[in-house]
Amino acid sequence: MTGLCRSLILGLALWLGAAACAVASEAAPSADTGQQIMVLLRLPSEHFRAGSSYSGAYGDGLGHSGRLRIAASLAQAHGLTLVDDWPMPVVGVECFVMRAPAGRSPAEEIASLARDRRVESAEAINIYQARSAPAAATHNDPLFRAQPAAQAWRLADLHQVATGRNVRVAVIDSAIDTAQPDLAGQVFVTRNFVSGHGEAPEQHGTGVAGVIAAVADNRQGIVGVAPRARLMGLRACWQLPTPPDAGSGTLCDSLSLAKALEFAIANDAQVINLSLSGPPDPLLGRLLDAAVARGATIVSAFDATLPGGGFPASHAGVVAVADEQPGSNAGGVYVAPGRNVPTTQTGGRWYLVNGSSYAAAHVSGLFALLRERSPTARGAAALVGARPAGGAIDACATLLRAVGPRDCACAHPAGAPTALANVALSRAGGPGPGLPGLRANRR
Amino acid sequence: MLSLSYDDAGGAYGGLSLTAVPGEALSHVEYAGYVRRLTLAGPALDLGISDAQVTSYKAPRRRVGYQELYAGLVGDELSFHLHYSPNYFDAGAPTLYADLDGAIRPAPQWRLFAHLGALTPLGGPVAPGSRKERYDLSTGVARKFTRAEVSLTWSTTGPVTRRPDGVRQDRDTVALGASYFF
Repeated sequence: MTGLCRSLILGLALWLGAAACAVASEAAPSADTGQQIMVLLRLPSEHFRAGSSYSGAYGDGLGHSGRLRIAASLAQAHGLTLVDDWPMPVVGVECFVMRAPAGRSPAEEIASLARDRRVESAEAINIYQARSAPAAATHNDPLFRAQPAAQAWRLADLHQVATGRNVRVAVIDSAIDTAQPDLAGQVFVTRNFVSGHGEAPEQHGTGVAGVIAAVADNRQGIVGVAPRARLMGLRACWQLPTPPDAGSGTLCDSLSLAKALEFAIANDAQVINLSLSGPPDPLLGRLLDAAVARGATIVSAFDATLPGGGFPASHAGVVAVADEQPGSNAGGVYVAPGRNVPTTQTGGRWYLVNGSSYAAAHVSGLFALLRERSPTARGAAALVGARPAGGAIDACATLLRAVGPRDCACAHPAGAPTALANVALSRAGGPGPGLPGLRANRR
Repeated sequence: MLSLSYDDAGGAYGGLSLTAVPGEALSHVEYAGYVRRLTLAGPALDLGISDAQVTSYKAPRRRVGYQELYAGLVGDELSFHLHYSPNYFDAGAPTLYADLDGAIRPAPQWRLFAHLGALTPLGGPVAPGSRKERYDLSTGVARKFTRAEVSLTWSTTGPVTRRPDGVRQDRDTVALGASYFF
């Protein structure tokens, strides 16, 4: 019935030519975020209203008008400027962005606003940083064999079992170059939640997207971990014009991230990649909880320089991924290829990258493979690590466990079965001769 | 049409809607209910009561109307309600009305919506040759502005009836509406 309803509604939209109508900009001012505050007002669940048509989760104009009036009153009472508003029905709030005048402390305004009973909560806009290191040298050899995952994860063998077909992966990052030959046709929807930082494609988002879903067998560049996945390119980060000496030079703020997360959840993203880290944020935390409750897999980059590995990696339910073992006290952190990774670059090129950002992207791709074959394989528990709840990921064993021993077999490159694979193989009747790695069972 | 509504933080809500059709009738609906999400990701349960009254300008002393109890599930893009009326428009018999509504947003300020409703009496006499169930269907598009909304709606009802002289009474309607939110 939902499909019928959608078809009916969409048919009408086409009839009216609504698709041709200009789409209002989703971008919001993101400059001067240091003086901006997010004020959250409760967005009630939609319900029966006499005399008006159903408005869906975003509520009706009457309710929005009331919240806008309250927000304007709050802004006036606190000497703030109302900048923007954004409904987030998946967590039952509408977010109003307000700017404190220069010389006033946003922290004091937040404390004052939080005491107002009309305010659900108030918080600062935090800054997040993509977790990638500067590109190593100028290698530009776009060969599959150069990809660490080709050997460490036996990618070609994995693709005999799953390619991530039709799994929706949200890449919340900087702008993806959708014209990059290795990404052509892979991004089915793009949205820009950032303004004031140009519109041009950017390196980090393009690189992360390539690791996840670069086209396979097109005689160009690399192969994504999940080459048949469908990407949602949600720009919530921007590339600094002059990157600092250390770090990626790609930043995001909690407002743009919240908007992108809300969009990803509302549009049923099955895997959400967050190759970034920063301080904990209540609104983002609630959105992550809502995403997990709706069955999405959240993958984030682990940052050893931040407490707990940084947020959102530290958040419950989020799969934290590093490019190298972060230390014995970092439980629950998985390790995936993230050093010297060839990936897509803007301008139709490829380059080598390093960092947890790309390790997280590998794991997002792996989850796309898992979810193609086993929709219930959603959280960290679906991964097979070198140690309980963490460590280097055995992609082969992970996929094997999800699809079941009857469908494939898994072995080391030299042909020696792994311990876990041994169990599976014994159930499956043993590996076929001569072909190491993961194989589709052709029975 | 004038509408007022109140939503409490705890989930209780109430409102009224006043509709005037110049030269024809004045109607008003008051409603009160309670809505609560069943789970973080699931639909909300919506329960309530409403009272609707219609007064004709031609017979101002005569009012007709109905009271309803309703219950439904409200999701992000779909909503389903059942309405029970013990005496719908003084027909002398209870009725049950089921409605399914859908809404999607193809772009931030645009909303596409559709509604399907079916009304059936629970008992009471039925004229020979006539069907007791009736349905209504509508679909449309709305464009929202900061404090206003413009909508275009097509609606129809059924089954189609004919006057005694055989003329078909077509109930198809296309309406262009504009709302301002104070």
